Amino acid sequence: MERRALIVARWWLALPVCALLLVLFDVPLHFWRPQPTRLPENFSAAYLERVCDDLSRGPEPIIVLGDSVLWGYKLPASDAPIAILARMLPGERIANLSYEGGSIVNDDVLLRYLLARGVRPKAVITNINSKEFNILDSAYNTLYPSLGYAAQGVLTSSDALMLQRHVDDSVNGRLSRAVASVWLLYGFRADIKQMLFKGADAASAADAWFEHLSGAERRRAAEHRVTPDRFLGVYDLSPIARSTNIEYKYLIDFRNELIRRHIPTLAFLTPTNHQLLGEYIDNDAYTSNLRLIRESFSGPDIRTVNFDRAIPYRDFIDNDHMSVRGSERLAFLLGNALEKRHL
Amino acid sequence: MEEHDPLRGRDWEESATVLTAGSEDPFAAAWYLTTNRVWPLVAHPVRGPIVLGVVLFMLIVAMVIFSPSTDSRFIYTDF
Repeated sequence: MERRALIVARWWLALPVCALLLVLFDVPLHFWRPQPTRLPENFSAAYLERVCDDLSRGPEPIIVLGDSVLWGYKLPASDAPIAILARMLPGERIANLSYEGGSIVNDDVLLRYLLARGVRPKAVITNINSKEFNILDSAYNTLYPSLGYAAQGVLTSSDALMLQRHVDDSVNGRLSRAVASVWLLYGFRADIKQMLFKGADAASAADAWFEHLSGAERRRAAEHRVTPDRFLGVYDLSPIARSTNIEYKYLIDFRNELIRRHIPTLAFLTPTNHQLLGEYIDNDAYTSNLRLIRESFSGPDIRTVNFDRAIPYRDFIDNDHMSVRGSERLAFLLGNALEKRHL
Repeated sequence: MEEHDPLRGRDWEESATVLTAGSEDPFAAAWYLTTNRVWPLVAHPVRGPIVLGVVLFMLIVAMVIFSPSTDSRFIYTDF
């Protein structure tokens, strides 16, 4: 019996050894200060928190809030429009906080979150994509999950009613968040997986690897044709309902916050591929919605420019995402507009 | 009288059986290594708990890193 107790006691010693190693593993993560060219494809609430805290120190940054167009969808990070713009303005500290699935709703909440964490933007650059005013758009009233978690403290009861947040309020979800708040390896797991697997997790990486090896990826790319019918219903051509459209409501809130804080802002209407979408959007309904958006997003420190037709169709890869050449053109346009705005 | 164990001793580890794994008796080799090399380490009063702690640590890290992403991710429409 004594011998058995001794063995059990020895095994119990393994737990503090394991705990010590986990603590040691967390030490470098504690000092990790990510300074990405743009936000990763997948990022955690802890990552966003770190990036924001870093921006609250040092020179005032120009903050870029936007969607996949500014993020640089299907482009390497160094070819994204904001990365090119940053190279054109080497004296400026530009932080690209746009991401896939961004929208004005996300921009407004992210701005409030940044301000609450002590970030003082020198200026804000943002894009307004008219397709996101469509109630059927996936980003219409949906917060990016990590932002939904991180910005809980700045969300009002009205936000809670209007916005969709993928927040798991089950016991499991709460426990997971509690563990993530004290254990950095767990808190940064999404970011570590993104770095290691260049995707959401090992399963997605394995799936992509098999598809690459089997040639399925190549076949799909060869068969992929961007045709107008894919975009049927993407742009809502009915007049934007000012009183009920949630994206419009947040456009006004976003504008008011920028005015209240005296933040110089350059906004632009997202370049759109009219050659591809002409049969749907070359009409008065589309133009008058753009006019309403542009007129609504104005103020003493806000300049909104119309880039809707600013990029030639050959520089698009779909309805609004651009090739490297398109990205360079957009960066050039932004650089010019910033110069005129004297930001 | 102690029974002769042909697998006992360091010489055996450098023998053809081990160096050309699987060529003769891989099960005997595995049994030998487990009982004569791994178990003494694990049963050691000081090294044992350290080894188990390291194994536990590696298991936990692997579970965190290789687990499927359960966070709700934004489903982006790829046209």
